[in-house]
Amino acid sequence: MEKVYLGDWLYNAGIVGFLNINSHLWEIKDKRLVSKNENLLKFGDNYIEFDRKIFDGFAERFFDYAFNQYGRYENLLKLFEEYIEDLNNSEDIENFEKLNKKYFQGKLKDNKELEDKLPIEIFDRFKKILSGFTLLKKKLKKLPSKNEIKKNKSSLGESLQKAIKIMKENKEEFWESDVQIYLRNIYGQKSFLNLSVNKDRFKKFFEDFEEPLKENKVKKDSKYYCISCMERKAKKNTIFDTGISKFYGLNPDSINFIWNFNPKLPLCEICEIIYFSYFAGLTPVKKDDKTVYYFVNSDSSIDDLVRENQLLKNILTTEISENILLDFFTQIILESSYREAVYTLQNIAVLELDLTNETMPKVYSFNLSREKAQFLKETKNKEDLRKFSKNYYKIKDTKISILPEIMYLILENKFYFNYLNKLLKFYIATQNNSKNYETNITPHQLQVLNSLIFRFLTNVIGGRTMKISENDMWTIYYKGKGLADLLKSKNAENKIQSISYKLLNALRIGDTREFMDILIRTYMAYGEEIPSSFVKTLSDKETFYALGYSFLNGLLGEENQAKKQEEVNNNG
Amino acid sequence: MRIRILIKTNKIPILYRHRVVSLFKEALKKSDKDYKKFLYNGKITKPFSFNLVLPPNRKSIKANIQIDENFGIEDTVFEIEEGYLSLFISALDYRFLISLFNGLKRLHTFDFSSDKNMLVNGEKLVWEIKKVSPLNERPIKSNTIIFKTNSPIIIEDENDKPVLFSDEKFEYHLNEITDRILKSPHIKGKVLEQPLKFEPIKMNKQVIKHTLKAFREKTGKPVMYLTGNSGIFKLSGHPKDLEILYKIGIGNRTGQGFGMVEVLG
Repeated sequence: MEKVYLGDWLYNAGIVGFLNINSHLWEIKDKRLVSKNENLLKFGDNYIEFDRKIFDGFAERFFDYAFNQYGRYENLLKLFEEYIEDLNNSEDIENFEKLNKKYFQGKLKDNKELEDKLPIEIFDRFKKILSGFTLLKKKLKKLPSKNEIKKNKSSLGESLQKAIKIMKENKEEFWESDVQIYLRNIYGQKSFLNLSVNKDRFKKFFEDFEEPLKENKVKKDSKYYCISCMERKAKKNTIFDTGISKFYGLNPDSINFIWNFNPKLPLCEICEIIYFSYFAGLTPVKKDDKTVYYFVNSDSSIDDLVRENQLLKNILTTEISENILLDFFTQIILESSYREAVYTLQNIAVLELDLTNETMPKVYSFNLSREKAQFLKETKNKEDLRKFSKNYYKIKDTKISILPEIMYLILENKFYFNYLNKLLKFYIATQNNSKNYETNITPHQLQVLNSLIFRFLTNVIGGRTMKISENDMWTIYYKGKGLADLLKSKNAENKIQSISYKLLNALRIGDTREFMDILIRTYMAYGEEIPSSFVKTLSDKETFYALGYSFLNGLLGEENQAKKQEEVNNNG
Repeated sequence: MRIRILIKTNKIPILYRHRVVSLFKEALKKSDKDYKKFLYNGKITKPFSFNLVLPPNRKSIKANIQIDENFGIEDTVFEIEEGYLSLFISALDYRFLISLFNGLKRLHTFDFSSDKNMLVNGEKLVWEIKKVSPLNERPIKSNTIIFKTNSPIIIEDENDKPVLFSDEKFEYHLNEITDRILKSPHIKGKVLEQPLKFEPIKMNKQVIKHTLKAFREKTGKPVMYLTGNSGIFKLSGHPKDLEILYKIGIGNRTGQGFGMVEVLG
């Protein structure tokens, strides 16, 4: 049996990856890590123990894991099928809106235009995919020209069909090639990942790793022990490039950094394969259009390490359907920050890896302050934040999701009332049927955001003693609603817009006097008592903002909107 | 900010300022007791001033004014049948305005006279609060402003003697007093940015009859005569200070209805 102990974070990721690749041998039962076959794999407190028989079939499992994690093959098959379907459906007028939105952001006028433009659009997208998918491009050989497609749309459909057919018939080859492309990016050019290896990659991996590991046939160094485990003899002539080189800055190209220009470093074959498995220990997460990788380095025990990463993976990679839902992705961002907060509070390190950079992967270890972690972990805050998962605003054609933006502001310590002002501006613009701005956020949500900012300022930023409570804020919110109702009852609903706009402006520039002036005038004009809590707004800027925005949000209250909607519906 | 309170009543005696102060106290008591205590339990500069305007079609008569149990005088009373008074208020502090407005809303009517005080020929006078409306304020952005007094400006020297605009020490005392007032934490918390310069344009001396309980008790006299300055003048200083003065009034006794000014031109 070979023993592998917990080590540095990369090694630990390797252990998790190694276990994930061999996931048929264990399970989590009653929150404990349990082996299904103790002859092959055993769990210790801070180590795992396995028999070399575990490597039987390892190459295939390793390839499968990488292939699935990359996911390109399956995604493209689906996408091509979708293209064909959309092409076939484009003549049907019923699908106009859906396709117009999907491919052209709703810019097309009619079905005729769609019929003309869709094949060209899909062709462009298809070509772009092929430019990054050499194997498929090579096998497809000739593509029809744009002119041919214009004349005969079905030629594009035929090409897509052909691509699907080629992919299905040559799945094995695509499997090998995709694994190589994917892992080369992560590890560099080790073994089968070498650029010069362009066929029989699986065989190469099998011969380089599975076989010698299983049979214990690796040639050992006569002198040195492995620098990682210090137990086993090092493998003969290992060049330090087993995936770790990128992180440690060691590879044959940088031998001038190394003593005696000798890039060989003693590492045993077991530690090498552990390091080589670390990709499988990471959880890929889509973030801002690229994939980043998360790893939780909980190094108190194997049990914790595996379970925490499993948990993270379960949370962050639930079913991604083909039509990616906006709220799913925005929620992921919330969940990842939330987990990060939990780990921070438990003193566990979370790492984010950006592997897209070809020369040197970047590792970000998060540094949340305790207060911020506490803030994100607080159930109420999390619940409140979740309420924004489907919200967006649009400036012209650019649509921006609100939740990720909030998370960014929180993490950067920039979560402040000016963000609220921006959203309110978009809200008022939307109410006025603006062509340039649009948002689906409601005044009630804006008020929740106001509370969140208030809590963030008092609990995280600290050093601020607020003279008001959240209750005061909601009281004022309802006062704002009350004023809106009053104006409506006096047939002065149109005043709400102009008053709100002026209040928003006063809040934007932080002009307390202007704000109070507008407020007092309005109340006096209608002979109503002025909410006395406003006196408190004058004490400092934060209180002013917290209460001022509360009032404005209330004044804009969504009953207005609901009522308007009702009118629209009634009027047809 | 400035507001106008429209009051319905049929008579008003020439001694009215102390009753306006009572009106404020009553209103504040109804809406913000703490603030009333803050303003009136102790000597503190009031962050406002006021000015009562009588309608032009008033008639002045002589009548017996019962100031309190001990004092009664024969003096001018204005008759304003079916008429309205306008009480103009200018304030720096929104808490004052909000609390006053809310208090007046709850008050509806104010007893100008009680059983023994401020009776006119034995008749009790009542003020009906009809309407409170906001007024526009002129923004002050330059270093020199032409002001017109709405109510006379009172400047007193260290011995409480009145100083007239024509006195060469007028500007000196004006600066002294203003510095003292601005220093109060609830006004500005800081003295003038730069000294004030006062140039009379068309000023007059004006003597005002006034009464206060403390004065009567101390001196045994029913009425005090205050010498004030009214008319048009040019005031130079830092715009920030000029704006505060525009809001709280100029000189002594602004809380008793003196020193309220209006921007001219």
